[in-house]
Amino acid sequence: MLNRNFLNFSVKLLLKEKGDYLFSFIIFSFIIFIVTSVLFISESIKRDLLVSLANEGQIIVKNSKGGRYYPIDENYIDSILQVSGVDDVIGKVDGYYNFAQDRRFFKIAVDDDLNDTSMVVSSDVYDILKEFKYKKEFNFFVPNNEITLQIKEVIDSNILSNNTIFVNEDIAREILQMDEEDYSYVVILVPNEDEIENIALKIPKIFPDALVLPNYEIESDYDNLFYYKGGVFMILYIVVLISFFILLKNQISAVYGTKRKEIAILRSIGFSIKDIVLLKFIQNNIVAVGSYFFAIFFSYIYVFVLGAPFLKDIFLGEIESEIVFSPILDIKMLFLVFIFTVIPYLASILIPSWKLAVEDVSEVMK
Amino acid sequence: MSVFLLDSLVVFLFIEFVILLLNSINQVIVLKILKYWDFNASNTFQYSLEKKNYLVNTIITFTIGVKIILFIFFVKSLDDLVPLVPGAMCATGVIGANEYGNILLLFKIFILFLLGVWMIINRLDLKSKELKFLKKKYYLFTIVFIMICIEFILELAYFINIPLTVPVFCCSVVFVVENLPFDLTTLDIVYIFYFIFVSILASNYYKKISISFILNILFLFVSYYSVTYFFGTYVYEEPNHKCPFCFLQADYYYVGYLIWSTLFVGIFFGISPYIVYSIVEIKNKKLLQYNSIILTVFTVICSSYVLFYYIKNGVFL
Repeated sequence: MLNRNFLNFSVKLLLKEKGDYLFSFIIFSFIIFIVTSVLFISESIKRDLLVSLANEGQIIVKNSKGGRYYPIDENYIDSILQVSGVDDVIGKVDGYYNFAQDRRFFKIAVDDDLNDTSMVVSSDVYDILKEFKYKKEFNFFVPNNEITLQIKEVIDSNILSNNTIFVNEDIAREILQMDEEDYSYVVILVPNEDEIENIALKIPKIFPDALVLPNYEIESDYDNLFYYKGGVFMILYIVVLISFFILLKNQISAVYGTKRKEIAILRSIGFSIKDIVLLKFIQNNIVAVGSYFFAIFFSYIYVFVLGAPFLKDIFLGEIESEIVFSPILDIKMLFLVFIFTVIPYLASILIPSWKLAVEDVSEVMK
Repeated sequence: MSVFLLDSLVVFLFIEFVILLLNSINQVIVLKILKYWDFNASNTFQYSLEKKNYLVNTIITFTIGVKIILFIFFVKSLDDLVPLVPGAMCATGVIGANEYGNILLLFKIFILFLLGVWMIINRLDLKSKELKFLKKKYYLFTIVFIMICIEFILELAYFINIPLTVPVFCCSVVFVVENLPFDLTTLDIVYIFYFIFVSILASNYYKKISISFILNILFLFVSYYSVTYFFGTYVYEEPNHKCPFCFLQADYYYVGYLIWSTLFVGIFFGISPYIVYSIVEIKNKKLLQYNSIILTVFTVICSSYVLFYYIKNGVFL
């Protein structure tokens, strides 16, 4: 008997009884809200990492001595350039500056658009500098010298730019005490994807000390980390869901207990048992799908507009609490949440709906 | 690291478990109905059984809906596993990663087929006022339930045993031409494909359900081989790329879902009339029309790839 009038009637009836469904709507929305917020945060962080990885070269080479990182020099670049298949080798400078006043390290990264007197800082760094009255400029103390730079710009901190100060390469070398010919690591550009693995195997033969990280290895490391965390979270969340669905089943049964007369009237004017089950199924479908979209909408705002207060601290710790998440909307993730929550919701109302529908009409009407 | 920590697999197994739980409740009721059902009795016990009959029907209908969604989700999850399994470049490697994968996939398709048959019989049953096929449909459900239980065990066995360190085969290794049955060449398979297709249309036109049944089963196998070894190469536009899974990916606009779903749904309408007839002895000839229409859509999609390739490039692969 599924037709427009029937749907219309179910919706009207639902609106009339909205108080009965309010409890399950709110709790269910909250549960979906938490799970999507967590997934939004982890997807966003992962996406940022992968995008930055894609912008780097295909292989990263670092030098080590006795198991510790060590600067890499020009000779490495020249030798790696000789390997066939390598398009270019770029030396990179980065490192950490010890900000002794606050007992913390700032990451120093290179931005060649800057001149010798300016720097760009991320917003969380700027907040710390402000506390020490460095509002317009900042002094780097290096052995026998002091470098003063103007703060040119403050940028949002995401998972990569947080805790970072950008300066040009010469200044970075001065701050990090590196020689003209030294680099922190080198990036190898390989135009042919299929060659990456081969080249990654050749480099340790030339430099046994080198640590070679091809991009696919870093990518699968990220993937593994996120899969692992996501999976643990999901397993814990199943416990929450199960308790909710037991609660829901009882609550719906209790509500339906008070609706017996109404259903008996519907039955006596010609609704069959199947129709009543369908009616309740449609109503609960609307509630479940409604709270699904409601929750997705609010968790999007919570994470990407408000920056996920509280939840962020749990994930990243207080130090990185300035981080801004780049908005993403992954259909696959939303589908996952839908299956994870809406299907068990509908499964748990089947039996209460049926119980309501098969009540003995004459018995109830008495 | 265990694959169980992949969130889509955790979700997948959780929902499968929920479905299994619901169907276990169902099975208890079904056993009761099978044992005590007596349509002519007019006591309260029979009356309560009739009420329970509604619950069973509702749960099975719900199960069918969820199983279809889960099947799509399962195939998608296999794609999620690709980066985790060394050597795998598409779902072929993942599904063939251990001995349970292919059996599991066949099981899933077979369960969906049986549930579809169950739906048809259920409709006929509800149409007849005395519910005369009730016992037959519940015997059928009992078989499906046992299969769902085995399927769940297979799923666990499959996911536990996916190797994360040992490399698996890629589709270019699994699907080489030598794998064709009876020493047939690819071209032979294509001729047979079109021949059987035309025969199905003819047999459907004359409404011969038993001939359609046999032809459809043949067509299922021939289609599998011809899509994998012939039509697939035109989708990929590469003569050596033979894989039934790669075109499920975004690179080919997910056309694989359309190709396989039209094939399976079409075949379902082709073989179900005979199965239904052999169970309840009612000929449902209308389904054969759907069979013709959907299989035509399937054949047109496959052929159009070949045709467009020829128009664009002036040669066949």
